[in-house]
Amino acid sequence: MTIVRGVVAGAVGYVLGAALIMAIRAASGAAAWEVESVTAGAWLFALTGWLLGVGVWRYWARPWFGRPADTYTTTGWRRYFDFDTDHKVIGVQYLITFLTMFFMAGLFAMLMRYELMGVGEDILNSDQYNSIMSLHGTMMVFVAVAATVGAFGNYVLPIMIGADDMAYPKLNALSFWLVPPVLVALTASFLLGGYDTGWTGYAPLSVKNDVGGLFFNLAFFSLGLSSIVGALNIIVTVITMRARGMTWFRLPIFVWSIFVTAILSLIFTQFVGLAMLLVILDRTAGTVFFDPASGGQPLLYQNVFWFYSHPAVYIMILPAFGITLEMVSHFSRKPLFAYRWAVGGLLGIMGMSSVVWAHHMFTSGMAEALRKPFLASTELISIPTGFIFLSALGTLWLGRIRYTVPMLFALGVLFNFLIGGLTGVFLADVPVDIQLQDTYFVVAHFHYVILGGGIFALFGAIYYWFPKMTGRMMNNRLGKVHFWWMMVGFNATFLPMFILGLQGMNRRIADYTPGLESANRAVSMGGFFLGTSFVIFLANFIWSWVKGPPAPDNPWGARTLEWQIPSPPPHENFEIPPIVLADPYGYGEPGSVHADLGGNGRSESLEEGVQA
Amino acid sequence: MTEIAAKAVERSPGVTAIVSLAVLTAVEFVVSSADISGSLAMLTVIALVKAAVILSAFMHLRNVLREEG
Amino acid sequence: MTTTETLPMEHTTSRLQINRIGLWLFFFSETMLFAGILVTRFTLLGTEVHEEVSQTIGLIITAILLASSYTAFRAEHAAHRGDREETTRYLSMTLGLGAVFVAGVAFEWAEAFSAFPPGTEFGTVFFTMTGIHAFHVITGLIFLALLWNNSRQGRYDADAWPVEAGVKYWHFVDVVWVFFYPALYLL
Repeated sequence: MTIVRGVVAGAVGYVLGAALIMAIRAASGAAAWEVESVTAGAWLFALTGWLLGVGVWRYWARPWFGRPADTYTTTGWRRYFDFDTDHKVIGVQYLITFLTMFFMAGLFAMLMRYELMGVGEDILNSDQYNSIMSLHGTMMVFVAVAATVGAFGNYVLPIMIGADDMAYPKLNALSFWLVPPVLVALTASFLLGGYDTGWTGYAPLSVKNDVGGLFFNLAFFSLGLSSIVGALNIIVTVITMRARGMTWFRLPIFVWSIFVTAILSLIFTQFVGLAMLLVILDRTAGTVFFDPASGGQPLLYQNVFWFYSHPAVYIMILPAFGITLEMVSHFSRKPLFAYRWAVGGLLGIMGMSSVVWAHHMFTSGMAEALRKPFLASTELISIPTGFIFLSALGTLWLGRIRYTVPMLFALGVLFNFLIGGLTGVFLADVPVDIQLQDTYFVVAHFHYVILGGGIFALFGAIYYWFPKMTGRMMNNRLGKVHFWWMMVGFNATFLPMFILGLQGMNRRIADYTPGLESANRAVSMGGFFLGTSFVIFLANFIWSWVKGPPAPDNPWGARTLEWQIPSPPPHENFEIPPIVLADPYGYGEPGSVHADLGGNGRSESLEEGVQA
Repeated sequence: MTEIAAKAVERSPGVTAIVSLAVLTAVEFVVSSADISGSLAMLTVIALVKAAVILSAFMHLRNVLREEG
Repeated sequence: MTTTETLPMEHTTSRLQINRIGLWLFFFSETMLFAGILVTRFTLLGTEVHEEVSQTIGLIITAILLASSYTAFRAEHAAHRGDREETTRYLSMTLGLGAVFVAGVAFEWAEAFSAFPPGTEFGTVFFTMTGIHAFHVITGLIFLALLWNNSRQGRYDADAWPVEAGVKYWHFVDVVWVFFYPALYLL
């Protein structure tokens, strides 16, 4: 019902906006209807209408006009389809939305690998292939940017710091409800013939391609709005909503990682918004930012775009580091090794992330004098990254490791990211990069970082927090099968890609020279194997949610706050405000207690065994 | 705001700030039309000072973490 | 509705402080957008300014926006004292000055379309910068209009935070113009 209202209000907004733009165009002597100009202008009105219709008006904006706000009465499963302000509901909304997006983009990947199995254009022509490739990339980047932060940053973070909700619950709901328009824009783009620029949308091609490209820009712009609003909320929540005694250095490392990610998001997302805006203006308003014939600079796009999009790599990977360190400590039954150095590593990555962007542009024709500094800064950023790894390895060292499913995924992240990180050092090196730019070596590298790191951690987090979110256990054996299947499939797909890249296989092409066919076939087989592993996950996920055995409050025997309350948590999380007494990782320290929860049954849950 | 604090505030609050902003804008305009060298640096400095005046006098930046207005 | 006021949680930070921190973080984020636009402007144009840009209009609208910042400040000042009438009066003045600013920009656009249309190097930068700024001014005006109407009916007698937020946003838009004005007219 809410969604219907939102759609109707969004459509009304579009019509009003279109009428306004058309009136302005007619007044200035241009043809009133031109799909791109009208749509770009009307999008803002459609977004506003959608948000008002979906709940902003009823629950939020009515008091601005002197009317009482509607009381929120939705209960049960309908809450997940309403403008609900409970951070736990919003976390689940994010998780399901982005998992859906992930599987859609995964199907596109299957299609691409099917096309690439043999030489020639088998099922897709070059244009179709590029559209599918662009949508795959765009959607996967959106998943990597927003899934972990949106789902677990919302669901778990407030509980971990002992808060009852985020600092701005209504703003939180708004940031989620900005996501459906992103999906609408991407779908519209697909239906209108797609776009051929990849997720990077480089100008001048992105200024000149068909109308699908405009919807890509609008989608990215809308997701940017959502990210900024969400990031702001997370930062204020961590600063102001911590429970008594929850000092900065008692924060679980996952909270730190999300906090740092949110800062990156708050600062840099503005630049991708700007990049999209400038492209939209060039497409619709007749400006010439990226048209060299009239004094514009195509390279400007790459600078603005990568000034966001390299920090965005850290927006994707820092939550994965946080999850990994969290698992490693809980399942090694040891305090997190060098906790402060790990925090320093996160902050160091944050500080350096803004001075490495031009390593994406070594072959773009930028000033040659800039190559060396960007080479150096890029390689320097591996030092704070090393802190994270040392912290993880030091925690594992002599630990009593419990190989639970989330722990397996955490170890998988460490293995995969090591390969992704090391190949990144090669790519940061200018002479090597000039050879490998735009080859499958780059493709393999960033899949190792983002899929092997970010997405593996996302799935680890799902297995880890599923009992808390649903009150039910996931099947352990199926989880292990999923992990090993995914791990083997992932490496079988992307390790050979490094070799393909070294042999000169280019990115973003539907056809290639015959000599590369056998390697491509092997990659495709690995890809299909990887793809099928998610069938197991989905079966386990859905079955466990409906029929899984009830989960105890603390199935993993972990010390952080979210495990000290019932599964699933009550609406206000804690009966009375918890008081934090010591750091969350004091495993093996006699008598150490993380927090006093009053009447919530702290002591027995600590004793509960681990289901491994 | 308490009465004592209210008395401490000048009778027409913000006048000093708006007058200095007006003067600085006039200086900017003169610097620009006089066509002297180094005007870029001067304009940058003046803009930063103007921003600082607005941030401190009008927006009370120092009160971010405080209760009072 | 989950607000901290209705739940038995105690925080060391008050609602007012939480709101203030959030508002300033929003300004910080927006600053990045405007910084990016300024860098774009200097990348494309160097330190040049088009001679045909109207110095008279530039100076007039700058003065108007500065004046509106002062009236906005007085409105907030009055709101914190709980002076409903004065708040409303100064808010309406700010609204008027803001509307004049927007009209000034529109008037200038009409002239600029023939002097340096968007398809030229300077026109691209000029229309984008003034356009994005004017967009923020217009959103600010919508905000101020709501504040004016509610203040008139006494809805802020108990809590002046909405007025403070709207006025601070208005000041922020003015700070942006402090940098845009020399970048577009004076260099």
